[in-house]
Amino acid sequence: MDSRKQILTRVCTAVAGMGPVADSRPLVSMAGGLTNLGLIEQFGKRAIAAGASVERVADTARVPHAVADHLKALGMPATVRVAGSPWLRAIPWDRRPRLTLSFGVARTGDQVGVSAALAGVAETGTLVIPSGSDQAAGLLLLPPLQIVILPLHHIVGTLDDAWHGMAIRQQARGLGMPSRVCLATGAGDGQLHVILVGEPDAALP
Amino acid sequence: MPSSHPHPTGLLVTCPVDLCCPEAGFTAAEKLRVKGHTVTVPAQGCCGRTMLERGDRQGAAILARGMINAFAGCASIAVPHRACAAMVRDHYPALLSVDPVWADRARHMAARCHDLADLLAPHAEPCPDRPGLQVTRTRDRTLRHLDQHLRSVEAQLTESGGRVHWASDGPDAVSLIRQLCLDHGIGPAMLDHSPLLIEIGLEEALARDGMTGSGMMSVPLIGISGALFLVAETGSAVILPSDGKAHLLLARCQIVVAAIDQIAATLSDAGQILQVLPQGSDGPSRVLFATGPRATDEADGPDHFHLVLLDNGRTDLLDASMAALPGLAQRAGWIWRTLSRFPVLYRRATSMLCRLQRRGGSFQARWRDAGHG
Repeated sequence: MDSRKQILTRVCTAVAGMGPVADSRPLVSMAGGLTNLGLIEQFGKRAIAAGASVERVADTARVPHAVADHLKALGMPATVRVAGSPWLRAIPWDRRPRLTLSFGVARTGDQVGVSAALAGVAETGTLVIPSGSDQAAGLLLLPPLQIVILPLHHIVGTLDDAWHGMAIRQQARGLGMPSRVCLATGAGDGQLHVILVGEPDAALP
Repeated sequence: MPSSHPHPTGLLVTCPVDLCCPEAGFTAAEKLRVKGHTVTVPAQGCCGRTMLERGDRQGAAILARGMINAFAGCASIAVPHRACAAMVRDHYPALLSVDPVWADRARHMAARCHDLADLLAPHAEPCPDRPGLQVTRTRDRTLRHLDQHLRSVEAQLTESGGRVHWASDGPDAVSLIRQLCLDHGIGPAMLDHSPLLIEIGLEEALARDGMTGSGMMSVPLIGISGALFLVAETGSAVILPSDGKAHLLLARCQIVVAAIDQIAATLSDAGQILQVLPQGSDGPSRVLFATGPRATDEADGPDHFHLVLLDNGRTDLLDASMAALPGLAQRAGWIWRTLSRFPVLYRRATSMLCRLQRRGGSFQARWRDAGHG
């Protein structure tokens, strides 16, 4: 008997003798019922508590300045690797001409990676970053300093909300589960700097 | 640093970590050690929270006494699960308040008990509390359909372009991985420090054949990782990148080893399991959901993805614990009420339950196997 058949047979035997399971109640989210502004505030608090630094800018035109100023404050060279997303490419990086950019996947030796998050989870301060044609999970793993750009309207209450958003995005593109999804909470081995972009719409529920 | 913590800190493992996320137990012990604590893991069972939530105060009190005895020699007690910490701190003194012998000891234990996150980073704001029992129930529910979930992982991952291999035991897994390395190999493989890889002795086996290069800092051709758990609905392997070894996850060929009983049915359940890992500034900072090789339109990821599903005695434990535990749980109230009239039998029954749990306790077994006593 091969290993697969042997293991599945034994598992089937074990589960066949089991009784009913206790009812499971749905989880109660601490982020439930928060307004849009509340979600943004909670995301920031959780991310900082987990060791990330967070700043807010009014629009994408301010992103190059935020990146360059952050690197300057850390005394790091102004050289960054940016994920090849059209949204990130459309940022007017030339407003800070001294910022040296290269777009693409992470390479060994990269010191700073810039990527965009699909979602920010208010409940835990976690960023959800799937791989794709326009995004590379490696930028969240390799460079010692990771800068993540997160539009304010991408902040959701729970991880379930983020999974739901990702499923809709993938379905719209005719794709299944991305081969890589990175959840980033706090600094990790290096440093994580989150730049929140946009003006909050207080009218949103 | 160790001099600041001369007395041992006991790790109250908790059922979710012991049975569901053993890796989190090792992470917790390591984080405590780095902070200067001398960590000890007394042999232990359930804290009694599930019994109390079922309304069985006597059963919970028995387990509470067992825990108080187990941790008697610890100056402080770290609990990586907020609900279990709350059980010890808030409910032990109340449960045993009418017992003249145990009331003081319960209060003393409650005063020494801390959330792991608070102990590691006293300044950190606590994360929101969650109904911790959910993870245990979710795991119960998942194990009852384990065969279907394993088949789902296989089907989903195969559809994504990955390959699934089944290994009955450690030597079987090592032999499989060695062959995969030979099939793909130009250059050495790189391994992470996952307990699963230690369990099967992979590094030593590959090193004997000159097939490892764990010291290298560039992206290797073959990266081998242990999964924290699997997600049935997507076929994903959930991996915690090792400190300083994240680049092995970018290898052209990725091999992931996963235990057959560490599985979440859905992405939503996976989120619940991640909630019971140590949280706050010392929690896992990166979690990778890896689902097959990179798609043609993806910017990075491996060209080849292999998942090795490892049994290595887990079906034996499954058979034993599954046959016994649900029945015990259903009859717990009656059993404890009856046994409470007979103190000697009471103690023996408690001891038996705790032994049963310890037998299934992945973390405690591996902790002892690692020579920690």
